[in-house]
Amino acid sequence: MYLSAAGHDSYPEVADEALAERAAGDFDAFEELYRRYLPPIYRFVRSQVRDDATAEDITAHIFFRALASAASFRSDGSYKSWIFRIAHNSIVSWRKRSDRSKPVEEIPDHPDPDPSPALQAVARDTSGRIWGRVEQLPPAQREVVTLLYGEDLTIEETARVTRRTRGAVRILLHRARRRLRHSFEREEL
Amino acid sequence: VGDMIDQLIAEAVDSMAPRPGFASELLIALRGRPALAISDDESRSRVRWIVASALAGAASVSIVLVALHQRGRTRRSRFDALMKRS
Repeated sequence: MYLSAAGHDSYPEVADEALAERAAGDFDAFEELYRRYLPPIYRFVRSQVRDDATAEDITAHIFFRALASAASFRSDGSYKSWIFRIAHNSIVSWRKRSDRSKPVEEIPDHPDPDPSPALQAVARDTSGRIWGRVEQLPPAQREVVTLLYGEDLTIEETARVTRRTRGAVRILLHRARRRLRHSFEREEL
Repeated sequence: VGDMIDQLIAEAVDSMAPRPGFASELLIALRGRPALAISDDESRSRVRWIVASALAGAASVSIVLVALHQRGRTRRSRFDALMKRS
């Protein structure tokens, strides 16, 4: 559960799912969920699009949808998965509409060399530079990496959000990590 | 290497905070717009689109059927006339 972003203590200990059940008819309950989830949802969206303005538009759309369909939330699932699923769908729709996904240059699939040069390259890298590489991953890999490492979702939750099997998520993750490792190693050479 | 990559990605994602003021602006917008308004608009336009498509489809099918029927009748009457003459 994400902590409140602002000093809003109406529901300090109430679980997300309990709030979600009331959100359809109680705006305060929805507002508490909004405070908890705006930062992670924005971060997730921002990590998938190229600029702040688009991230803001999509984030707004996600919360309008979450509010509009609050009554459809079922308490047997987690709210976190539910709202990230809305975010995933919104990003997919945006990608289809804007057609901004650019093909990524294929990285040759060769065996891993000694990891030590890569380790040094990673150690020297800043977050900004590493993100530059993450941005070059294909959208599906970037999404999985962001959900797992950026937002601490589990493999199970990521699979639910992206409507993939756990195996498919693991494969995407493995490919993403391999691409990133190759990217560091190529820089090193 | 993997652990360091994971950690650096987590740091990079963590630094992507919304700009100051965005949270309040969006909250005001959400507060001003009732939840049902969005779903109503969306479902109404969807229903309108489905009804219009269904009507257009039905109209096209009936035009084709009527045309085929007329053609069949004309052919049949010509055939009957020929048969009578012979």
